[in-house]
Amino acid sequence: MLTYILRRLGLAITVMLATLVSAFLLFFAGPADPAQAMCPEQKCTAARLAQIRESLGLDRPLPVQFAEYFKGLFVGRDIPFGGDTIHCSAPCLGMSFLTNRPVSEEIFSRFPATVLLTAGVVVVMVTVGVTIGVLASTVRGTALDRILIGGSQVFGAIPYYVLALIFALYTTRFYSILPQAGSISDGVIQFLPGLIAPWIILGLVSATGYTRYTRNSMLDSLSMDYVRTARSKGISERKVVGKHALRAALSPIVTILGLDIAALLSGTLVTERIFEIDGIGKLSLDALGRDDLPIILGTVLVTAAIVVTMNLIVDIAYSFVDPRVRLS
Amino acid sequence: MGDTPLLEVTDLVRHFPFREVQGLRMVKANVRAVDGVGFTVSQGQTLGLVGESGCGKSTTARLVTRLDTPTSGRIVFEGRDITFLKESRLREIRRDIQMIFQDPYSSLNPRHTIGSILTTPLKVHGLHKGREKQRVKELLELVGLNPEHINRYPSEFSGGQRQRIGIARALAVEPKLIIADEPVSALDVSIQAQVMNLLAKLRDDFGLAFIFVAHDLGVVRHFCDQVAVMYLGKIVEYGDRHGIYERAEHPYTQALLSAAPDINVARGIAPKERIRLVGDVPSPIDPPSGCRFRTRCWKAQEICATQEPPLIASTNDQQSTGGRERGVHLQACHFPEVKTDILAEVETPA
Amino acid sequence: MSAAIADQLPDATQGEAHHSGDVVLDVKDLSIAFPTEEGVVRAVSNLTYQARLGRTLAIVGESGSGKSVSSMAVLGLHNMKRTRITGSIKLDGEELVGAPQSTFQRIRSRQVAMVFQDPQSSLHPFYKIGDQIAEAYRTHHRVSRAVGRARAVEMLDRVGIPNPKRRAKQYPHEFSGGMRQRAMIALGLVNNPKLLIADEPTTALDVTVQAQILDLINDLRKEFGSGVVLITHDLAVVAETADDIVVMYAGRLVEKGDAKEVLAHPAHPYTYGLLQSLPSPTEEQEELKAIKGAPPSLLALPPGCSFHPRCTFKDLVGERCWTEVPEWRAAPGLANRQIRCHLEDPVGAIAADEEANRG
Repeated sequence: MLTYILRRLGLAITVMLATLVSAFLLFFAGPADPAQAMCPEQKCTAARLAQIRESLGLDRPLPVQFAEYFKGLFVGRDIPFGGDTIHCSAPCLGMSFLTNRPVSEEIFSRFPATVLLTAGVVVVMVTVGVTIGVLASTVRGTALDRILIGGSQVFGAIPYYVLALIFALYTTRFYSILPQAGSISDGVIQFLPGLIAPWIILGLVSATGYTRYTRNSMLDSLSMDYVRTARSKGISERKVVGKHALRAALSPIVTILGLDIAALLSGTLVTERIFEIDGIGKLSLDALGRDDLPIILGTVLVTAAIVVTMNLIVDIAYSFVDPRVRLS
Repeated sequence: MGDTPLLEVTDLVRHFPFREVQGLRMVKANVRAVDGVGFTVSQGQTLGLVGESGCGKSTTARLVTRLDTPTSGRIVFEGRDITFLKESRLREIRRDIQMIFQDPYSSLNPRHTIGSILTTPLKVHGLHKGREKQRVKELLELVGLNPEHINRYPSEFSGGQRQRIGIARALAVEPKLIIADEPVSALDVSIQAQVMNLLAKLRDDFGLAFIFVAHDLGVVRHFCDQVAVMYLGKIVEYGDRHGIYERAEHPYTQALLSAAPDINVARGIAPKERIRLVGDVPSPIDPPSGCRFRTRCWKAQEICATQEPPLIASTNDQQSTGGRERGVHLQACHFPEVKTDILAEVETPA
Repeated sequence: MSAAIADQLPDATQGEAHHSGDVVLDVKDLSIAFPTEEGVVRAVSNLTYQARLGRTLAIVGESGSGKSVSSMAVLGLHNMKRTRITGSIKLDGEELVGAPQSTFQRIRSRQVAMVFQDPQSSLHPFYKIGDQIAEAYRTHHRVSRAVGRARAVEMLDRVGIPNPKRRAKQYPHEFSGGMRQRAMIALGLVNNPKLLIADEPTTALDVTVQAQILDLINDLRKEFGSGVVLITHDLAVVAETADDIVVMYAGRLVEKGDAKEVLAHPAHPYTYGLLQSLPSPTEEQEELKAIKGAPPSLLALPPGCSFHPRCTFKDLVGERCWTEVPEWRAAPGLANRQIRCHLEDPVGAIAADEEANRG
């Protein structure tokens, strides 16, 4: 088990390094020019642009820049910035071109909002999705089954941003049924009510996939011989479905859930934009609009780290869910 | 029997390597599925491979058809070494060696008509050019199916009929050797006999050689001239049908034969005294030292743990049984002995 | 096991004494049909048989003969929304056709237990063997977890699993095929039921293990005194283990009687055909005597006798074979034997055929 985890960690580090190199090349060797973006109204002279580039360290050869960046990740580094030198401590992801703050600070200050959003969404999505899926599987082939599954299909087919926008407008703007989002700097307790609306809408929309997935998985496990064995013991039908069948049906869902959590933690662009939640998604969206390369690179790396970690957690969790899985 | 055998297999080994975590170490190990197996099959001859699950009989069959590549050993077909023949050149032997599978449901593509299933091998090997359809109809007739059903799909046929389609597919390329892996065990009793009769007829009409893999001892006895009994990746006893079924010398063969329930009990014949084997077949990852059967054998002594008994000519099988010519009879036990009580039961007429 | 727990454990064989020979399962005129989009599948038609305490009844037939379907009905395992059941199933005197789910929940495992064909898929892969057995016990006995667990260990011991205490804590995938089937039998017998239905219990097992499991079922039947219904397609297994036999074809009963007598002297052309098609263990045969054709679709049974399209004796009777379903009657000239066949003298006809084959 320990060996397995160490091996997986090694693999994870390799993946991270590969991501780092390719993302770095893609952004810093690419056509985007942050110096242009930093000029007021984009009207700088060539000399002024060169000056900005120099101050950002963009004039140095790419390998040198990369080596600097890499060093910063582990031990921190000093960054020349507009004449000054700012110390950026490890893990240093560089400085934002636009806010002059370390990227790591920018990202980590946004993280709690995204984590809180994700937590609520996961609760709604799993509870609603699995409950409806199990219900549909037990009434398979009936009108109720068709209503539940058809409904979830229709609901899941509407473009999310349309649904989310309408929901946001009606619940938080036109009629103030649900509170609008605040800033997390006001304190977590004050911040939470503003998350209710996105929790509900994103949770419900994400639940549609889980509904269908759970139903199919349950239909599989309900037809298994061991469910027949469970029934032949004389235990109640509720226990047959809720214990024996569901236990087996849930294990494939764990995999999907892990990846979904990773995706949510990486920031939900649309949700955070519509509900004005200052999270990772909004941060990267803003950075994209302004060619703020260090922020973009930073969010990409953090996202990759989250995905890799969640994959590892899923694999380990799986071995607890299914005793047949030996971590080897 | 010709001078050179059709198929000659020597010291065939197939290990499936895998890695396993033991504590903090990664241990490399092998599943020794086939561990030194040798036999020959001559033209028109039928060799039965019997043994319990995990004995390596199906792996051996797959190796001979080269659906799988051996770890070591030699497979010579018609004087040609095909042991490590490259993927690209396997087509050359596929024409001569064909396989019939156990499951008539999963071995036929459900989206293809039986006409196209049977035409494919003809086209691949460029046989009967221009008259493929005619040939397919002949094949269907040959295996007892209606040639007019050429445009039907596998799902429209019953299990027995599907196995006939599988047989027609194997026959399409006019092979010399057919490997049949449990060809009737998925079929109903009343259908099994039909398919067995069909196989026997084809064998006799076309002089086909067979390797017949089965766990049903009765079916093997009916169909096979030669029988090899396998245990944990090795042949423990080899001989002609009479040698194996009437004068078995290896304790495992005896146990296997005595374990099979006997319908004759209903005809007033006292049930056999059953040799009850204790325990399970040991893991092929770490087989017992010396004789592999010793952990379940009632005759086991010290030598069995230290020295592996070679597969040698039987010494006891010398008494005459009425002038019938004796074939080769090999066994691998330190203490071989014909167990006459089994013999008596099997030979008592109803 | 602590003394306190041991005190609470009943002796495995105690409970109401099972009186050998008493009818425990009485099936009368049972018909089971599944309406489907393509039509009504008539899986079982007018089935009648009895199983007795302390005896083994073999239900023999090929796939689609209805042998499993009829037994699943005894435990109420069919989806009642998609199944039409008529007739009567009396378990220990209690009518089960039309009984509510609560009745089935009460009798399952307590009165009647089932052992299925494939022990690999019949045990839940995510729960420990001991817990799966204990669950069946605790569903019908108000005892603590510890007592349930001790009972599971005791049952594993009884079915010959070495080191039962350690084995109870293992998962099914850590057991071999034969051990799993032993565990299934332990699960079946944990509540000391009056009837054990074993549905092809050895078909998925190797022959040396098959012998062990059949011996075990036999030993336990004698020890517990329960009745055993053995569903199988293997006539040799029947010959060695069963007392009574019923032979089914296309959902109908075709022959019934003493197991050994039926196999030695079959009186129905189908039973005879099945026996003939087996490779003979004593004589060299050029060809096996196969029954021609295939079993009919249960969606469209042939008129008259379902077996007539494959029957070699129908010329002796003629038209009635394909116009009239034969009645269930005593076989002429044989005691304790019933058949469903129009032949006037089935015994004589079969004897003549045997003679002809020999000559």
